[in-house]
Amino acid sequence: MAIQFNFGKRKFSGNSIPVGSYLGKLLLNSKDSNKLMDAVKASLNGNTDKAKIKITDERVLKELNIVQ
Amino acid sequence: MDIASAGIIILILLFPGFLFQKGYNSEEFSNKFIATSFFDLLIKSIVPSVFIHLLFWIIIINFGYDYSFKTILKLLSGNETMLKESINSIEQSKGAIVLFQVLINIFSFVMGLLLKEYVISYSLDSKFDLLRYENIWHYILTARFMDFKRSQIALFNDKIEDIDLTLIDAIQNINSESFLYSGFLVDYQLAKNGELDFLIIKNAQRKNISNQNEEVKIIKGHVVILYYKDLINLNITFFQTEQNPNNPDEIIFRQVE
Repeated sequence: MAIQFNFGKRKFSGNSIPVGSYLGKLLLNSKDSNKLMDAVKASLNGNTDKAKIKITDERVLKELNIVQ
Repeated sequence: MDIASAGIIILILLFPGFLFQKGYNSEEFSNKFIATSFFDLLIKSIVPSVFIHLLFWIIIINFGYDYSFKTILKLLSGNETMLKESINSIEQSKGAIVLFQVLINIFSFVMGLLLKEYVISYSLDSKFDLLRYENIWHYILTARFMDFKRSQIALFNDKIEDIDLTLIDAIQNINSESFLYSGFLVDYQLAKNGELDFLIIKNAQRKNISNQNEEVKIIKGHVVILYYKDLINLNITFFQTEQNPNNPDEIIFRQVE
């Protein structure tokens, strides 16, 4: 079973409510952001093999605790 | 006393409720606040004003003070003699009255903000109609409308808090040709009437759906702004990300369900 990121949870609090999670924000602002669209379109089309991206952005990897 | 002066006194009495509303309807919910007429706002300020004044009444009694309804009624009466008497009694404790006004107004605004924080944190506004904000777009774009009792769509395996990215697909007509814009939602703006003004999307792509032979065009630049009034159709898809257990540096995308 896939591991779900804990820190990516959207927080409905504070003065301004974000339209996505912190992880989503990180991904959208990462070097890998150009791969996102193809992955989600693949997911929409039921192509689960292509509905994923390999993270190369160090900042995201660090947040995912892959690189310390 | 003329009507204007009596109006000012009523405004001072209702000001805590007004500030409470201002705190509760801040940020993305402030358009409701702006769009509301002054009279409507005054009416909505009555109930919180009464509660806040009652609360402060209990507090000030412990400090040896009390509300003088007699003084307030004399101020509102319009009778010259009574007015002078009221002004004299106000003059005697003007320091305490000013301090009271400052404290009650700050308290009201902060209470509005805190109540908003509490209501939103526990999604009480999604669950209870009475607490719901009039910004329907907030609920649509954050998927929280799925929590509405009347909503026929619901998430069974995921939670609304799990949504990481929101994909926007919007059709726009330009010179009798239809274009499909796709991108990830990063922000939105409401118009003053509470309607959606525009959406801001990132990693945008455009496809001419009138000409199937034309390829998808990747739009360069940081963001694309889609004005809602120009859109024919708006499709929203909510995605969740998961770490691939076999390959930790890989992220899998799937629609929330």
